[in-house]
Amino acid sequence: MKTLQKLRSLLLATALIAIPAVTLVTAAGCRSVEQTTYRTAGTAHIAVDRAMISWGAYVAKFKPPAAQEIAVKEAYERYQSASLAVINSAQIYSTNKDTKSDFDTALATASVALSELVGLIQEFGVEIVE
Amino acid sequence: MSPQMLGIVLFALQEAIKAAPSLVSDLGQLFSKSDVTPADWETLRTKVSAKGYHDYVPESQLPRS
Repeated sequence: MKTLQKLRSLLLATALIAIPAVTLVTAAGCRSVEQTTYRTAGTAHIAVDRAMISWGAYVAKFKPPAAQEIAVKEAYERYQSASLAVINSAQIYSTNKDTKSDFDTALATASVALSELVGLIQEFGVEIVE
Repeated sequence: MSPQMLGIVLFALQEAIKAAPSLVSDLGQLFSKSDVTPADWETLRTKVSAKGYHDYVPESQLPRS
């Protein structure tokens, strides 16, 4: 049962992570910086927002033990710190391509932190709403 | 940032979408600017830091620190 729950958490976390947030559009034959644009799907912060909004609703309704709240709060703060580390590494990477591995590591860490946050919230019985 | 460098960064971001979509979306918007300033990076940091636990969980029983 616990294995199934973990599998479910993993699948949902993967789905959230796999949401295509940005589509790079480069016009054919026009490859200058000015002509390279991003088309965003408006999904910024949706994954973490969905998880945390669902948790907030759950807390309001069911008043879970403080230990659960502390666990989620810490997981959220870990994700936030990991996100800041991604920004720092991206800033460095934007001027020094030799730092790509640091950028990749920071992204991987943020991804794990997000998966852990989502998994933890689900483990406490919260259904993350769309 | 040179066009070549921008291309490398954009490719890396595209790949990274699989790992952390929300953050990468913000980074993508930032990199789409032709001249990214230190203030732009700071704005993104502020955005990421803006929402604390209690903003999502206003009825939390934990003390606000």
